[in-house]
Amino acid sequence: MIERTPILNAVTHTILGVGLLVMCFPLVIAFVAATLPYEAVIDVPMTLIPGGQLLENAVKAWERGEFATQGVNSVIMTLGILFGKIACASLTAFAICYFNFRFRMLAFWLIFITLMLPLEVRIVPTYEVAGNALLPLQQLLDVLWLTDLVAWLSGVEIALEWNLLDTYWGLTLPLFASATATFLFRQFFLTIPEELAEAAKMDGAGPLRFFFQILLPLSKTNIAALSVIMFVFGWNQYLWPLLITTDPEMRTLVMGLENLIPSEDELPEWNVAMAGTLMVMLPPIVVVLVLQRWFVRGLLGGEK
Amino acid sequence: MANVSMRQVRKSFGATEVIHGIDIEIGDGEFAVIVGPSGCGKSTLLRMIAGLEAVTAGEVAIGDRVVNDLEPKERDVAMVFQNYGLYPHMTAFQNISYALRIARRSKAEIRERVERVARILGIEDLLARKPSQLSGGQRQRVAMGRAIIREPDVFLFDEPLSNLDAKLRSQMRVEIKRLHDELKATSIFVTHDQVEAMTMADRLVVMNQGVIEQTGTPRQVYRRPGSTYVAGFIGAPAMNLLPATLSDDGAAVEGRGMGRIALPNGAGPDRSGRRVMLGVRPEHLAVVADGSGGLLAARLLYAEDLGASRLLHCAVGEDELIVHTQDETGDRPGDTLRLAADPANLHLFDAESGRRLEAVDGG
Repeated sequence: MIERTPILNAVTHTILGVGLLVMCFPLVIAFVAATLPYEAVIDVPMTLIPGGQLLENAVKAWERGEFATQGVNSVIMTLGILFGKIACASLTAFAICYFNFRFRMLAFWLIFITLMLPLEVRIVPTYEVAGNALLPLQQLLDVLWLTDLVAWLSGVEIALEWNLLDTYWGLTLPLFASATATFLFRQFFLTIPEELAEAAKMDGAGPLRFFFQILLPLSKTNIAALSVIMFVFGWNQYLWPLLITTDPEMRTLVMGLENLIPSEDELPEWNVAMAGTLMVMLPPIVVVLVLQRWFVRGLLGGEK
Repeated sequence: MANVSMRQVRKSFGATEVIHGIDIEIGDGEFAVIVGPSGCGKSTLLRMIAGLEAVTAGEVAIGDRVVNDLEPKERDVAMVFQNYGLYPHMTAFQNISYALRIARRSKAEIRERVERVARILGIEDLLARKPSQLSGGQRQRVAMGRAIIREPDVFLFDEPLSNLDAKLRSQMRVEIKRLHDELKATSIFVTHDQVEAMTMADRLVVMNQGVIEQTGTPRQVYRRPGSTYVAGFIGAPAMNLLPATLSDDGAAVEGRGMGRIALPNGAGPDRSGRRVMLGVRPEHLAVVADGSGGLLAARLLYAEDLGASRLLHCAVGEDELIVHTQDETGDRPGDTLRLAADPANLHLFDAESGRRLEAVDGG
């Protein structure tokens, strides 16, 4: 809209400004606290002028929070979720858009409905399955009396077990399925002219070749946009890693932050805690800043 | 090289049948044009030959192989699409060579064949560009290159010229025809444009509502349209069709606003009194001097000057007709014109079925 309305402009700018302040103030506090020595951070009220202790605090946080191990875990988990989701979603959308099978629309709607079932809602059954990823299969066999049949025929008891607890698979696999990503891919695939698929067919390309050599290259911007969302999503996972890992070696950064928060009988070293927080926040911010051009383009669905 | 035949081919989408049993035999090396209005099933027919659409009933054969159950790539056909269907992320070179790369031909062979095709089409300088950097005509050429490079038995064209502007279209028309003379591969070309159909076809197939109205050389179809539908579709401006009645002896027709018009061959007394449509092409009508007889009298409504010739829109009773003439007399709207035509150029169609009445055939 192009209008000349100075008063309205002032009002909107004020609202923007207030919003910015509300958003940024906690960050500013965290940053200032992270730069202060211990004596300054426990002052009430705390000063808002940054000190010069940032590096020292960061190093302390790094060591105390075991960021080296946890950082590796976080990166593995985030990238695992990222690639898993994109692979899963693009293949699902490919199946739904390009293959004419029975119950296709039913499949689509079932996937779509899971949008309303985030991990938190199904966390208990998911945990049970993660305890033994082959449990559903085992139950199916049990229901069909196949376990008994095999036991009777061969004397071998079928007991399938694949424990995901305290593994990278456990951290990532249950988060692979993504209705949002599937839906985004589907919407994108629908904009690709049918002639392309037909031309590929005439050229002798099979479905997989079409998918990898034509669909995926065309989805580049789309994938970039999704990666940004999924990276932030994966990095920020807290509840699920907390539940599925007990081994300290498997903890992630976001969980590790909890270690830095001073408990009752420790020195309240908030400066160290805040320095740690800043470090944990950094990777998603960098990813968003670097990829934001792609992000916007991908969501708008524009080709250059 | 191969001929293409369709035997009693039907196609249904769900409960609706769109192709109602079609028989065509297209000879080896022939350039066949399937023409018809949009929705007549011509593209569906082509896609069934290509293998992009399953055949509901009947048989499609290429050469002596029945191809009903073969994948598109096994049929040895190539197709040029209406919107070109080029892969946007590949260069022209990659687009043209894609089929060969899938077939794992050697790098050297691919390069050599792409270059040869590019030379034929005059696109040597464009090979490094992506489709978005090409104009419509250039994209069209790349799309044709992609078809040619496979050296298929049969070329299929699905309205490939409809996205080009008028000038390019007539240029590409000639080029495709020239290419066909060079490659000699059987070609099937689908279009709704009757000019394309007339100029390019060795064999013209006129389709309407899922059936074939008429097949023949363009000249045959133009000279002796098999039905009022074909008569109206082939030729521009369309053939004039006037309602009339056969006289008692069957040797002449009479109609509103026209006198008795004698037919050279007669229609025979058994058809007397029958309601018919009298057809005459605008270019076969001539304006003649008053009192020198002629076919009928018409009132001039308005005249369109095309430069080389003029179109006279006239009224005969309540019906309108068009005269295409090179005559430049300065007649004005409202004038009454005497129109004449060689009786050999008159066509008679049954008013109910629309079929041509062969007995009175003048052509």
